[in-house]
Amino acid sequence: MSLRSTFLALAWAVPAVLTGCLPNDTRPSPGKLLVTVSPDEALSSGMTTADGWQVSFERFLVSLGRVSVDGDGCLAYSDPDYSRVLDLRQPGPQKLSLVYAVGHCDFDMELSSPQPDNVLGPGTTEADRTFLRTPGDDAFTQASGISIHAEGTATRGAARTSFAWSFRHRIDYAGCSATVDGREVKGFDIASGESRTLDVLIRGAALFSTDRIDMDAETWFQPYADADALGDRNGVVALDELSRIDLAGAGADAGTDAAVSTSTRWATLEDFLYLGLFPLVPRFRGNGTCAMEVFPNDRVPR
Amino acid sequence: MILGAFLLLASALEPGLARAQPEAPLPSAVAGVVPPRLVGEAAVQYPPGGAGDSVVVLAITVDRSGAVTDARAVSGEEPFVTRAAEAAREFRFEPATRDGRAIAAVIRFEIVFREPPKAAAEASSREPTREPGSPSRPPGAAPAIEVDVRGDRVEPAVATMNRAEVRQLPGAFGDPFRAIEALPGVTPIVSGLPYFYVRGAPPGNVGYYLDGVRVPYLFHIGLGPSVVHPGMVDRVDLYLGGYPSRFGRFAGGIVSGETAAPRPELHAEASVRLFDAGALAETGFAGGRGTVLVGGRYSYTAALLSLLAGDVVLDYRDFQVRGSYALTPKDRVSVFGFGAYDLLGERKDGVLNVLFGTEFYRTDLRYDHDFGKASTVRTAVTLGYDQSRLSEFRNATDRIAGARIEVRHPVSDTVTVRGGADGLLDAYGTSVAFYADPDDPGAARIQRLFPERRDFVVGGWSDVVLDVTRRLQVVPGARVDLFTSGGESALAVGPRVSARFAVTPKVRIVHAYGLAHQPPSFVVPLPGFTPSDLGAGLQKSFQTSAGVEVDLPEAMSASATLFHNAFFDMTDALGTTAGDPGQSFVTRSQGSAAGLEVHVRRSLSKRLGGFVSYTLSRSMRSIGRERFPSSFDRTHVVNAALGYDLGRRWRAGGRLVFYTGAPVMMPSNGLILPPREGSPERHPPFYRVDVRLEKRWRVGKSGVIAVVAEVLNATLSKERVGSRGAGGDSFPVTIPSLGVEGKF
Repeated sequence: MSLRSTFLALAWAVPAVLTGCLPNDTRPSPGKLLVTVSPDEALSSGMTTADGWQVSFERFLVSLGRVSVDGDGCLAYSDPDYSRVLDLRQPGPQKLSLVYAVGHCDFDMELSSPQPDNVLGPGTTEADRTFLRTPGDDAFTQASGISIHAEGTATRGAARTSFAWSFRHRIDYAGCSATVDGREVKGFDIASGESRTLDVLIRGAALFSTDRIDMDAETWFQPYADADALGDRNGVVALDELSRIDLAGAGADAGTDAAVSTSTRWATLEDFLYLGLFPLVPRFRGNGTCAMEVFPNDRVPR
Repeated sequence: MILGAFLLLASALEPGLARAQPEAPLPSAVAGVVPPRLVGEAAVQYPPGGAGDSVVVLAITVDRSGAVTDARAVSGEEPFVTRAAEAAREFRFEPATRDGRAIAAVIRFEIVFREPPKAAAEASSREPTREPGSPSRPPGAAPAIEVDVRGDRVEPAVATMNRAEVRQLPGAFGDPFRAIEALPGVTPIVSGLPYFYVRGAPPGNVGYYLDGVRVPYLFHIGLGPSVVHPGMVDRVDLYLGGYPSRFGRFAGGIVSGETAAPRPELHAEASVRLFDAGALAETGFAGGRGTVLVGGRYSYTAALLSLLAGDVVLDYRDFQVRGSYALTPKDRVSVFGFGAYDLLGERKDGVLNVLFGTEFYRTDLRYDHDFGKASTVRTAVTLGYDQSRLSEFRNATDRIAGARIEVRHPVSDTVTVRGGADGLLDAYGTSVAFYADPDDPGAARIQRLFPERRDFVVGGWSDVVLDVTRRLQVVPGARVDLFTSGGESALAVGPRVSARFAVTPKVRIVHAYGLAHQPPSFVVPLPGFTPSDLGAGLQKSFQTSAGVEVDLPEAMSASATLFHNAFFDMTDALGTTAGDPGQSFVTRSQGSAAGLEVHVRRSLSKRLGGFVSYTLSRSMRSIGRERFPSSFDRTHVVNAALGYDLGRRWRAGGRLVFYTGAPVMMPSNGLILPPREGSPERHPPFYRVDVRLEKRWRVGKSGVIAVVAEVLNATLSKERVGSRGAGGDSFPVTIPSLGVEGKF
């Protein structure tokens, strides 16, 4: 071989020998977890409160996602770091996320106003996303986007009242657990090659519950109607009108929940709805609870 | 007492690139050329404070009158370097000639100091003694070590740092590439992180080259030592704007490293530091016709970290291999291979989760031919492989093949034509995301940004070095590039012109103007990370600068430069982000940067040396109706360094870095917001002090061992960056280093 040929051979051989030193994937095949979201019956068909009001939802938008799985015994293969704009008036389970993992995993998710490129679920539009991304103020946040927007009407006899509420807190749910077959199960188990589905229930009825924790507690609407009567009497219950209703006088079981990180104590129906009930609208595996951290949906990171 | 000053080799005429070989016949190697010839004695005193023998190699610029206009240390140590350079400025030469006409030239000149016997030294108060015959020995008869043919004037508008100087710069850890951030016009992103804005152009618009070969990134793990052993690097040039036509395809600055010329005599160096060890050795074969160099660096931080944090994996290494062979006195073939590997990860349940993983490899095969009369041609073929971890075991790769030709031809004593052409194929690939949610917009965005594709660019360039008068040099030129990517194509035509006018022998006015183009670029340069968005057009910048250079007494120099750059269709995700870079990768912005750069310096390789560099600037961006400062716009940036030889081979240095705060980022968090403010709130100013202390020992004739202690950010200063309100936005980076270096 000539000297020139030797140089040429070297020139080609060096990169060929040295390519691709980064570690390859030697992990076992993961399990596949489909996370879905379903509306409760109140969202699908309406509900009748214990005080006789027929409540129906005409619009119920939720921006939920950023599902992540982790834990000491969990090997996560993916990090679907995105959320969806969901119209919970749509029937049936909707896809929230697809996760690959192996082992016993904790389950986390986030309720927050959408990013510009988050996914639009069935029945939602760009206008819905823009609406949720538009900053606004309320008693608890300033210049924040919207995590859940609920609109509907309540009737009792000839009385008719409507509501349109935007909840602007971002809530991080972590370490979710649920009661399955009578026992408390934290997170979920998934084996290599297994495919399974977990559902997050969106409870519209939770917004009218008299008890934060007890999912079977009575529901009511009269205090909400009273709030409008004490307010501008325009037939639309606004969030700030709920502040006119003293919670203790109304008889709700405000209770306390160590899982809620906010130190605010709620005194009015507005506090109870915004700080107590709204964060518990999503329920992991239908009845679960999670550790919650509450933030504004504004532009300043906390 | 001097023992000798040997004119090693001489030759070097007009700006040029070709290098001949040590044993090549000297004057006759370049037909018609006679190198400068020393007139009289080269008397150099043995310096006070010196001990033992020492060898200094100088690059001496000899003008057409035979006067020395510049003497820079290429290698050597204090106090010998200062003494040698000062003495060399008093040397007189017969000028170099080509075909009988006097021409300017740069020569390499070795001065050997031998420690005088004590009694003699005391008696003579160390008066110099010339080694008989040595200094006045005819150049061609001197023991040839190197022929170095290169330009007699540096390009206008370039800032150059050589290794002898850089290794004395505190906080640079001896890396020439790290020293760039100390130059005017350079605005750091974050203290300690060697990514920077150059005259308002973001890091992704700054091109890195080593011997004309594109390098995807320069620093291990983003903030570590450079990926090329410092011993290989002869000098680093920073082109801030309006750069020569041979550089293109980057819309910001150009960082160009030049490796040291091959040396046939055996030499080597090695270092052991807290976090890595490196070595480099070179020798000749076939009677000096060929040389072989092997170098590299290996980090053992992984072993150290395993003791401190068992789950963390940190590994980096690099290598350099070079072989060259003179087929004839006018023909040389060389192969240069180099590469680097970085890995930062976390091990969990036996699985390594890679947080940062990159690697790149290059092989450059060259053929240089000397036509005589300083006409040269280089043809080269480059192969490369880049790979970076995207996420979740997905890699972005780039397989590279390129060819280039560079020609240089002096038409007359006052006109030199340079030109070249090249083609470069980048075959990008992105490994399949086996375990990703197909609806994940982040995964889809990565796929859109880095699709599997082939990018091809072919281009040509030419410029003319016109010595209009003895005082005025003008370099007009242009380059043309045709880019293709994913079915899209774009043509770029970039005219350039620079000029240097000597108002007096010590005062020069420098102008540089140029139009530069670049395909879409990533936030920071990373192997394999080149976005595909050619359909939205090329990034463009129109670069202008005008300044004055002044030679001051005591070997000091100063410069002041005004600049203005206009940017068009930039993919500056870093500068335009509101904290949501994921949304900004393909957002195009317009922009401008204007400012003043001031640089006052005395070489750090002197017994007392230092510099002050100051940049006053404003860098703006606009998107639609929004017009706002770049996210890393800093109004004032100051670097000041001082180094002093304490005697007994101790040397100490300090460096102050100060800059005013960048705008406070206000992430949108997805919200629909009103336009950003033109004068936003800014973070507080930042300063840090770097220190360096070195003790050296001579070993034999030319061996040196040194212990170097160095701390970047010895003041433990914390820097505030990013968004307001985030709890962890103070960013302290303090890097201590303790090492032992040796060379012969």
